[in-house]
Amino acid sequence: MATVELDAVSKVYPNGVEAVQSVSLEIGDGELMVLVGPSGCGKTTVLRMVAGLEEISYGEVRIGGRVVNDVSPKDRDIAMVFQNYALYPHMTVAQNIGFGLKMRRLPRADVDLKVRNTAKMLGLGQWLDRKPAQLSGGQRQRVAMGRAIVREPKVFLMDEPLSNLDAKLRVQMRAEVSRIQRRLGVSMLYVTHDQTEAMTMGDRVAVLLGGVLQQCAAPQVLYERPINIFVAAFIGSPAMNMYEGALTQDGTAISLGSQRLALSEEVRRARPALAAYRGRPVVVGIRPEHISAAGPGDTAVLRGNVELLEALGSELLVHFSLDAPFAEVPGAATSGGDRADGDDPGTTASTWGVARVDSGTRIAVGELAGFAVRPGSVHFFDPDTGMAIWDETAAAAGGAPIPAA
Amino acid sequence: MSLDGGGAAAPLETAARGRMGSRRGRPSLARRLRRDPGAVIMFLVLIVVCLVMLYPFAFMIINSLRTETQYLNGSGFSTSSWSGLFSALPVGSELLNSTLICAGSIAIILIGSSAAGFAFAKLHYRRQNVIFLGIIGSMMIPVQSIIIPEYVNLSNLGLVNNYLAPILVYSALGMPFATFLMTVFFRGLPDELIEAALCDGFGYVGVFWRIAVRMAAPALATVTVLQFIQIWDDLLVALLLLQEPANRTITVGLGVISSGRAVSIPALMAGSLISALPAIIVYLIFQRYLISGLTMGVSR
Repeated sequence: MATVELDAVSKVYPNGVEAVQSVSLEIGDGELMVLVGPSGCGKTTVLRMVAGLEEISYGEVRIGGRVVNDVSPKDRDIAMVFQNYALYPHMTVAQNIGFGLKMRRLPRADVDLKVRNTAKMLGLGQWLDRKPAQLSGGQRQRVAMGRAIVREPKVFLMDEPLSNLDAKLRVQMRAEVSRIQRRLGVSMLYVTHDQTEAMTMGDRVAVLLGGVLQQCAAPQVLYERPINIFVAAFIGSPAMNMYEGALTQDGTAISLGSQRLALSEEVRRARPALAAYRGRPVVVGIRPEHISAAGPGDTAVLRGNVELLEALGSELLVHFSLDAPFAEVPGAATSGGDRADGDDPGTTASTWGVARVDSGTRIAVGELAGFAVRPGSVHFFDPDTGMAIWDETAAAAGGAPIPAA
Repeated sequence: MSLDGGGAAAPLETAARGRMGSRRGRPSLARRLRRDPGAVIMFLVLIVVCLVMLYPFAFMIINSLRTETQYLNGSGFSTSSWSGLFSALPVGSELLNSTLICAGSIAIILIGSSAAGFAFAKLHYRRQNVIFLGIIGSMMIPVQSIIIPEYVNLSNLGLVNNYLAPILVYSALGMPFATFLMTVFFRGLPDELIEAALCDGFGYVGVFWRIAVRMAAPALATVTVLQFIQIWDDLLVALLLLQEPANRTITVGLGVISSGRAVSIPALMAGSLISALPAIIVYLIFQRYLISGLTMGVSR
C-alpha cells in the first residue's frame, strides 16, 4: 500500500498535442480515486503515465514517495486491469492469475495457494482450468481482477474495466470492485467515462476535460458544489439544465427568457459573489431532480410545455420547452447530457428542460405545466469564465480554465 | 400447466429447426445448389480447378507404377520403376539433405521474421517505416539477379558445397515475406496484452518469447508451410551451391536423372512423387492454420 502523487504531470506528443496539462493529484493510502471525463480528456493517458506505459513529458509521478518517472512498469509494484481484460488467451484461468507470481519466481506451492485463494475470493474456483475464450465477459473481468489482486501490489490501476459488460453486470461488478478494494485496502486509480460509476465508487473523483484537471473532490461535493459549468453538467444524470439568464438590477430574481425566478434572501446570502452580477447575465443551472410539479404554495416556478414523458418506474422524466436560451457547455456533446441538441446557444428559440418528478405526478404531453424549482439548489456560473458563482473564496480558488470545446 | 408449457415450447423448437435448415445447422449441398444458381457455377468451376490440380498427381502415381513400355502403351502396372529409381539415386541421403537444409533455413526464418515482425508491429522507433519498406521492397528482387554475386561471396567464404550456403541463401530470400506476414500478425495482437505482460514483470524480450510467440502459432505455421514448399522445391540455389553428389538435395538429384541421355519417365515420376510427398505432408499437418494465417488482418 502506498500513496500516489502526480506533481504537475504533462504529456506532450511528438506532434505537439498536449494530451495532459500539468495535472497534480494525490491519491491517499488505501483511497479509491476515480478519473472521469469525456472521451479524449486524457484520463487514460494519466493512468498510463502512472503505470509507466507512457513517458512523462513534464512533472513527477511518485509512488510511495519514490519518483518513478524512469522506472519500468514491472518495477513500480503496480497492477493494471485493462478495458478489454488483456488475458493471455493461450493460458488457463489459473495460469493467467498466477503468471505475475511465476515471473517473480515464487515457489510453485505458494503460487498455487495464492491463485486458489484469489480465485475463491472472486468466485472463480470452478473455472481455473478453463481458457479465457470459454468464459463469459463477467468471468473474464474477474480473472483480470484476480491477476491484479494476487500480486498484492502497492497500487491498482483500472482502465475502464467495466465498460465491456452489460448494464446489469456492470452494476454488480462495480460493487464487487469497490468491495475488494476496501477489503484489501490498496490505493486504486480508476478511470471511467461513466459518471455514475465514478460517483458510486470513488472516495474522491477527479474530473478532466481537454487534459486539464477541472475539480477533484468527494462525489457529493462535486454534485453539490461543482467548480465550473463543465463539472456541473458532467456530474448528474440526466444532466443539469443550463440556461442563459440575467440577474435583475435589485438582485432578487433571475430572468429566464420571459419568466422570472425569485431568489430568496437565504439563497443570496449563501452566494455572496452573486451580488456582483446585478443587472448582468449569468448562466443558471438547475438539476432535473430539483424540479418538481408546481403546487399551490410554490413561489419559484417555471412554466413550460410538456414535450415528452419518460417513465422510469420509480420516477418520471418530463421534458418541457422553455423560452430561455440554453447555455453552451464545453464538452457537453460527450458528457451524455440531455441537452437541446441542434439549438444554437444564446438564441431565444424554445429550449428543452428536464424535470425528474415522482412517478405518481399527473401530467400529460402537450400540457402547459408549472415546474417548481428548489431555489437553494440552483447553480450560477459566470457566462465568460464558466466558473461557479458562490463566494469570494471559491472565486479566488479559481480552478482550472475550461478548455475550448 | 405442464401441457401448456410443452405446447408453447414445441412451435419454438420447430421454428428454430426451420431456421437452421438441416439437423447440423447447415443446409445440405444439394439444397444450397437448388436455391442459388450462382452456387452451381461456382461448384462447377471448383470441380474444374480440382481436376487441374489433381491430374498431375494422378499422372505421377499411375505412371510411377509402370515400366517404360507400359508407360508408352498406356496400360499395365509394375513396381520396377521404383526399384530402378532407388538403384539410380541415393534417395534416402538426398531426402535427408533436403530436410536438413529446409529445417535450418526455416528455423532461421522463423526466429528472424518473428523477432523483426514483433519489432515492427509493437516497438516504436525512428525510421521504422522506411526500414520496413526496405525489407518488403527486397521481396521484389528476383533470385536469378543476385545468385551469381551470392555464389561469389559464399565461394570466398569457402561455403560452397557446405549446407550452410543454401541455408543462408534460402533464409535471406524467405525472410522479407515472412517478416511481412509476422508483422501483420503481431499488429493484430492487442497492445494491452503486451502492456499487461510488461506490468506482470516482463521486459520486451520476455513479452516476445513468452507471450507473442506463443500466440503466433497460425502465423508461424503459415510461414513454415510456405517456406517449406518453396525451399523444398527449389532447384537453382541447391544446384549451384551444392555440387558434390553426396550433398545433393532430392530436387537436384531428380534434375540430374532427367538431364541424362536416356530419361526413364516412370522412374522420374516415382522420384517426383517422393519429392512432393514431404511438402504435401507438411501442408496437411499445418493446413488448419494456413487459412487463418493467410487471412490475418483481412477483417480487422
